Amino acid sequence: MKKCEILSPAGDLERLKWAIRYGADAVYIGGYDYSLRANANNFSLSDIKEAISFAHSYNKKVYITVNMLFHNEDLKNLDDYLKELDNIGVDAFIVSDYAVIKRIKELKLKPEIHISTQESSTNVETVKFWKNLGATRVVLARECSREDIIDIKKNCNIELEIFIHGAMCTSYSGRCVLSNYVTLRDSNRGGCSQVCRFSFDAGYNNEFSICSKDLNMSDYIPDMVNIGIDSFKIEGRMRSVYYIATVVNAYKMIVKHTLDNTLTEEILNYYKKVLNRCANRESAVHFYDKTPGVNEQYFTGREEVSNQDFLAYIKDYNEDTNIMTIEQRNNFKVGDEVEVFGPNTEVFSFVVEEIINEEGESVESAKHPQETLFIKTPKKVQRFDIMRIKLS
Amino acid sequence: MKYLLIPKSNYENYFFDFFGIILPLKNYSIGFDYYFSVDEINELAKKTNVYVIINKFLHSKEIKEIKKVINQIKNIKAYFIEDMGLTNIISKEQTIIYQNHILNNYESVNYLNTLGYKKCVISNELTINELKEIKDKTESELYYFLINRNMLLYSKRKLITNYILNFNIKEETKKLNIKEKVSNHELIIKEENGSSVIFNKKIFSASSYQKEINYDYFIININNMKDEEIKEILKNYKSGNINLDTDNYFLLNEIGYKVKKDEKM
Repeated sequence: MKKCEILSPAGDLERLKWAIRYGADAVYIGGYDYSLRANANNFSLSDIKEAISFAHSYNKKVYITVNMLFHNEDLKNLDDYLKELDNIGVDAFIVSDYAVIKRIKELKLKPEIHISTQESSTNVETVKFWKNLGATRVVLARECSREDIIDIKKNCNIELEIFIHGAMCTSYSGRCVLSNYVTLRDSNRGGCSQVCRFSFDAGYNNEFSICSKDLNMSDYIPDMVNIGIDSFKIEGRMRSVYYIATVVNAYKMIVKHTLDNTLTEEILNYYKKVLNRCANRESAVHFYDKTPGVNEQYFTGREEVSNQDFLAYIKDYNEDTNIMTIEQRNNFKVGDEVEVFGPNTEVFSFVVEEIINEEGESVESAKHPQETLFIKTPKKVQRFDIMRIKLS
Repeated sequence: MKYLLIPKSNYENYFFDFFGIILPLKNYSIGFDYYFSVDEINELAKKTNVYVIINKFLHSKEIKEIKKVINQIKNIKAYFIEDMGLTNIISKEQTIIYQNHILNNYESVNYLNTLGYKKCVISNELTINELKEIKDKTESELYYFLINRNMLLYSKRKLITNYILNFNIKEETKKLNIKEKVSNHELIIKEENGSSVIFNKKIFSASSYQKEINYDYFIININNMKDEEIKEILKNYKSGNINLDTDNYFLLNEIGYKVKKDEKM
């Protein structure tokens, strides 16, 4: 059986747990220092320890991003940090700075070295260079075409990781310092202020941005499975629990159906619909099949929509009464058609006939955030399943 | 210290005022005004010290093609390379690592040195103290862009073509002067062969600080500049008294990267 890892982001411990429950084979996270999301919540060392313990109990992996580009002063505590991460059992370091590779090798640390997309590796010779430095995996540049990827896979025996979903940079990764010059925040040390999403004036009486739409590679997952891609990476360490659970689950199912030869157009279209619904921005394929053009870019503002599909998650289920205990996330009411899905629960839909609150009263709507409620379900559900709006 | 020039035309008498010239290789470089063919490079290499710059990311087709091109280039001093795949094609002795914005600390430079890459271009986003510490703690030969219109972004997207199509602008152009609306920060976008680069409008100059920085080689890049700017730079780059509206950006100012707690909502 081919190994096709689904690699999920996680901005904190709660998100990591949801990602693993929903089918991620590995999760990448950042510590308080040295990652490229300096302003995300990130993980303390004790959080990382708990994350690894949780992931390993599911036989899943945890990779730590140490992928910022270091200035001299940042090197001071690096050894201690890397050694601690080694001691607590991190599976791999995602790196881009030569200084980090040097330290990992000199300290003879056990975690694998994965080369970050910050290095923008686009050809087989570059990938061979990293392999010679001891890397076991390269995260390819998002600018790679299908031909680039095939050529690299054929001619270099190393694991390849490809971004399949989430935000895209306008620039080759690592080669944008707009944030440094326009907002005095160092993009390559995790301070990127996303200047590409700001408004510009070119003197033609219009405001415009230069930011790209998000990435969505769902159409090409079967092709990439056949090419032999080792890891499918989802972007978004600052995304919500619902987003992570939904996206991880959707790609996990597409890969599963691809591997067991049961992927139909109907199944693929369903998961594409799921992915499109949970995103708050438009998405496209970008570089895999062509050079992106006018349709792959945003020009006027962020054009983001708030997503309120996530209605509740299932805290408990009583098999005798078919009543599920849920925690509310967005408003819904009696008569709404909803659906439930989960890591081990095939999606099914039903109409909400009654909502009972904690006082045992029947209520017409669920409108209080995080309120515990009770609903009858026509099918068996499991703890941590998700209830969302029925996708039409 | 020695000075290297990146020219913006094929031949000028002032080339010979410099220790050497750095020539952008046609089809494999980006962000310059003039690109040099193999014949032009070989011809100039007979007359002065010639370096070649290859600063594009090379995709599968290009990395195969460039092997043949490099084989035809003769008698040059070295190559400045952005794509590390070129290290498998060019000898270590002839390689100068120029990964734009990437080399920011002495440990990285030292590691490359142990691998046999003993010449590096150091990033323009560092302070003088950081630059000096790198110099103090490495044996490598160090290069630095002393005067340059800094490239702030390199994209494989057609940013100008897309802009023109989206807004149905009648004028055809491959260069736009743009201004960020809140800060009024001015930038220049250029599109070349399906890729785009963005430059800072204001010229970067560290010419007043060259004694403190004291690197082995200083690079003067006069591409993307007007004739009067070039004239002034060529006249005064050594003295540091350049009479232009330049900036030294981070040389004297440490840049932040974490939002302070009280700034977070």
